[in-house]
Amino acid sequence: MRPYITLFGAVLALVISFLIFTNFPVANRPYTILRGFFSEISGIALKIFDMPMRRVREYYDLYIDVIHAKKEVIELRKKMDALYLECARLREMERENIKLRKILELSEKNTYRMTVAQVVGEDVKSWHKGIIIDKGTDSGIRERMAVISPRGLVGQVVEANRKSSKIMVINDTNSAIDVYVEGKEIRGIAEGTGFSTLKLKYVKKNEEPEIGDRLITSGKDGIYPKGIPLGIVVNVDRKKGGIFLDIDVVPFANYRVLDEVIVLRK
Amino acid sequence: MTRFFVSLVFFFILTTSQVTLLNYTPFDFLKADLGIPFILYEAFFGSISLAFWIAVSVGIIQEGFSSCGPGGILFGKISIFLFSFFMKNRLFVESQYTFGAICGFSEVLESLLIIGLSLITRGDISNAPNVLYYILPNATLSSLFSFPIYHIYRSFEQKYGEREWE
Repeated sequence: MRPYITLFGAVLALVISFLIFTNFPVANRPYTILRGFFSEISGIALKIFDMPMRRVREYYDLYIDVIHAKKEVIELRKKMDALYLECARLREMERENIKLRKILELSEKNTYRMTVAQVVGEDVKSWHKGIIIDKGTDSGIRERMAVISPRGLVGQVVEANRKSSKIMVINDTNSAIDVYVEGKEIRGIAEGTGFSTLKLKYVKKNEEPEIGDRLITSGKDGIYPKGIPLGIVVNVDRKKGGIFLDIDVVPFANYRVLDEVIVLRK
Repeated sequence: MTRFFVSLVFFFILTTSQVTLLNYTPFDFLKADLGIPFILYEAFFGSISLAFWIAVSVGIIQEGFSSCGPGGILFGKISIFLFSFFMKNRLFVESQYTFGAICGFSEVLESLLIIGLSLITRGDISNAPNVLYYILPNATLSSLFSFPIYHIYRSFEQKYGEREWE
């Protein structure tokens, strides 16, 4: 008799998990709380497990750095001299920029505060492209906030817990970003494929994107601010059927080698 | 109950280590499903009701480590439990290799279920190439990781005896 009770329980649990997957509110809400609790625990555990790994990595990096240090010092001194001059020129440009803004009566829109977070883990499943960071709602992070790295766009926050957050990276199949081709009047949607490249969709065949064109966010999707570099066009297929081009894009930020990311807080 | 808690703690430690280590490796096809061997071992050699609770717990814990939509992984794990429930008396697991093969097959089953679930609920299979790409490496790795888990459980049973261990 007992195995049949278990079987009944399993079938019931299967139906409930199906309803949760379809975002059925009655099943989804309590499960989200339960999942959040486990995410909280996993976030803390990841922080603890990440500490020794980070220390090992630091020592390894330090060793490598020492080897290259002397050579780099000479190169950096030369660069520093050039940068002093560049800095002075930029300061002058900034002053000029402020003056021109005042003239045009433009105020800074979309001011974002930045929170730097460390990447402590990666999604446990291969078919979801995500990372876990060590900052959460305690640091002001909320869902649907954009995440960037110094190289470019990384993704968006999909789950914010107290001490950790989960980021869906732009390579994920559920990711879609409204973008412009820089310097051209071309707009499209950059969609994740689950692999290392993205697809730029809905660009008509009469448009002229080329290999090497850079993509930047348009800011029109309400999540990603305008002007963040996203990636570079590596392939444009005009022979494919239909009215749209088939365009492959390689993102600037490779989420697999990220140590730290920046969350843009609205 | 001891068996249930030991399994979960062991699984949690393994998964946390895996997620942390993966962050430092450049390969994204090294993600073995470490939950499957725990569910299957319990279902084939232990109590079927305990296997169900392990399946549910493993599903929820794995979702804690994933940015996937809620319910997907849990659905996969319960399906694997149901597979083991019906196959318990039909499959003869006599060695680590048979156990590994079943674990690998379960991983394939879970991947196909995820595609089917996306198709039924969202009407799209844009995730399919991505999921199919990882099927073989994931299944192979899950099989390989099931070997030590199988041996650890076997040694526990020999050392403490099945009755005490349960």
